[in-house]
Amino acid sequence: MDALYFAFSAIAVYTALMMVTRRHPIYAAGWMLACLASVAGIFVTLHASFLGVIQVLLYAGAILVLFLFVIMLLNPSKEELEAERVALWQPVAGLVLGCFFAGLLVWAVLGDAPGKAIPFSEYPAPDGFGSTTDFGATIYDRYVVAFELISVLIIAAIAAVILVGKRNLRPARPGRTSEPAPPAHRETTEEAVHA
Amino acid sequence: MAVTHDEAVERTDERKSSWVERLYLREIVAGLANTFRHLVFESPFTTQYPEETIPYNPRARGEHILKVDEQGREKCVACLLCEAACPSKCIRIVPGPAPWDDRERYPVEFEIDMLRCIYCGFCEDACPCDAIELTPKPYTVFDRRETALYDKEKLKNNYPQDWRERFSDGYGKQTGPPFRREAGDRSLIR
Amino acid sequence: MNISIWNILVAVGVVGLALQIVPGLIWAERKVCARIQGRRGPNRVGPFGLLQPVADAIKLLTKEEIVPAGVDKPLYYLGPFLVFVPAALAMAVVPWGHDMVIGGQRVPLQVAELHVGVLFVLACTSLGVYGIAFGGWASNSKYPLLAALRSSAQMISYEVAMGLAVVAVVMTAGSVDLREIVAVQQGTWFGVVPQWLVFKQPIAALLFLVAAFAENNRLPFDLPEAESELVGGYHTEYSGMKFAMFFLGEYVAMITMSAVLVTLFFGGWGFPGLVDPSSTSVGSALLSFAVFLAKVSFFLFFYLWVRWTLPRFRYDQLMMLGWKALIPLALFNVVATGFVGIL
Repeated sequence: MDALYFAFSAIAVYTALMMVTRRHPIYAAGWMLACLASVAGIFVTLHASFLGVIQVLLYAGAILVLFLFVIMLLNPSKEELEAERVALWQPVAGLVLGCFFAGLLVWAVLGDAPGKAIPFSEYPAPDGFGSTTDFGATIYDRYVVAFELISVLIIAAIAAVILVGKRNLRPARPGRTSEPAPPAHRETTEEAVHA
Repeated sequence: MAVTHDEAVERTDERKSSWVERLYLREIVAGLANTFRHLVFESPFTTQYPEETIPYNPRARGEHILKVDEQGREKCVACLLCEAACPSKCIRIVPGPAPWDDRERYPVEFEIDMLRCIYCGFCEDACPCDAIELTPKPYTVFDRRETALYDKEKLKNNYPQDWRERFSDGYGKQTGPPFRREAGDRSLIR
Repeated sequence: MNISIWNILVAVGVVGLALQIVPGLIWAERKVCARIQGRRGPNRVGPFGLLQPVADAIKLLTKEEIVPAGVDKPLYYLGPFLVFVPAALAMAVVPWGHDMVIGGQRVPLQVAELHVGVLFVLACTSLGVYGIAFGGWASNSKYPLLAALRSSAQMISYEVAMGLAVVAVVMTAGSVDLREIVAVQQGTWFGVVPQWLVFKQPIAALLFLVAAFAENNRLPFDLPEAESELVGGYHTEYSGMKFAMFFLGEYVAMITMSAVLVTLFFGGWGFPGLVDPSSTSVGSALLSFAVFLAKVSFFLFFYLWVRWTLPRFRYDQLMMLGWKALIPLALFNVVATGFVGIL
């Protein structure tokens, strides 16, 4: 298992690097797909197969497809992509943040942070760890308030998206002033709901 | 006022029908039943073409035949009327003195270029002695130009000489296969 | 986790045999289509045209592979495989029959005994869209691009309905393990009616069926390859074996979907009075495998039957059906199942 874990980790890091360095968003999405798959692999090797499968199902199967949808809808040409310039502060900010999180990670693994990481072999997974039952019990028992708060947040986001999405979708229609204009393009809002 | 596409779509969608109707369940089941009936109970309509053919209507204009009399001699007297009538100039006749007593001329050579022929039937109309006829034989496919030149012997044997009798109902009235067949009706296929 | 030679044999044998349905399915597709339309279908190659798929395969293998200029090569080559692989992958968790005991060792007729089987299947089917999306985009042509767009929107819309239908099933069965879902469906009511979940969850079964058609891009939901409007859809620019790979993927996805449908709603490998679920003999296991294949074949036939009966949806109708009919119905079904479960 350890070997698999490190293999998946290496793939995840490599694909993540490939993702951020690709110029074309389609390729970035493709590498992101590989990255998500290898992160799912990491979850599985850590005895959290439920989480791993959900990772593929939601992130790779649904959210990334929406990314792809938008990328293909815009379909930027090569010239447009090359015309785009990166501002100087962006890589600097990225580097600073990256170093911060890397430091956090090193501190968690090697230092004496609270909830310090324990090597895999010294801490065998308890029976039923990562299973669907275990996962459901944790979410709906221990963290039920947080979970419900998150769902409220998501509903607020959906409502906001609908509001923003519908604002500019009322074209003036000659000859139909007696009735209120129906939403012209229904799919947009529906896709937004899902996002 | 012209109806825009969106309005047309909207109007069709807002046609009043109950929600049960709009489930289309009855229609889907009826459609499935119909296709299942076709799948299981109905025989195929099709003819296995190279092996099986359906004869054409006897009034169809296909390839020619040179008619012969009871003694096997061609009826043609080489009057060249068909050659003159032919709009595509596909008939070539070389007349010669007939070896028989009842006529003066006969075609030494009679040749039709089937690639030029437009199957108009004018030659049949022009013929004074019913010596040339268009039969329901379908157009042949050729792979060489030479084979499309039909000579006298080929034209005599191009189709059964008695094809009109074969396709008539016994009272001189021509009958042919109906243009529509019921599914599975194989009576005319040969 | 100890893998014996038997596990490998089962993996190769069962899935290999299941994949052999594909040529039969291609033949059946053409034959059923022909008979419904009053034709005969293929009857020249072999008896009843049974060797037609072989002839097709030879033709496709030996055909020239044309790669159009301006395609995005890596993704263009990747596309067909990304359609095929996830579809075949989902087969791994399907229980094809009950367990056997060979030489004192338990051999399941299942490649991977994953305890999150249902979710794994959903995850795999949701990945199938990438092949179409990448292939369509990389073709550098407008029709495949439109098909890719349609496909991704369609897949996401119907995946939600499918997922919610499966949630109701999981609530009724009390497990996400496909083996246990099959196990709870053994036995009968009143000695005659099998305890299949289709009787407990008819709405979920219907929703799953409709969503499965949409996920597999089969008529009446085949908008990504709608011939009359998009030429060939996402595979317009593909030829030869790459083109065949798309079709292979579609057929394998059909088999997988039918297998999952049977597993979730129609008692899996079980059949009251025919298969004894408590038996562990090899013969009984093979019988259960045959029962499973028979059930799968019926739904494969249903795919074909529906294909040649119903016309294609318009795109807005497709979205309307997905978002305004199937998803609310699925949500209602989940809530109703919850209430019934509490009572």
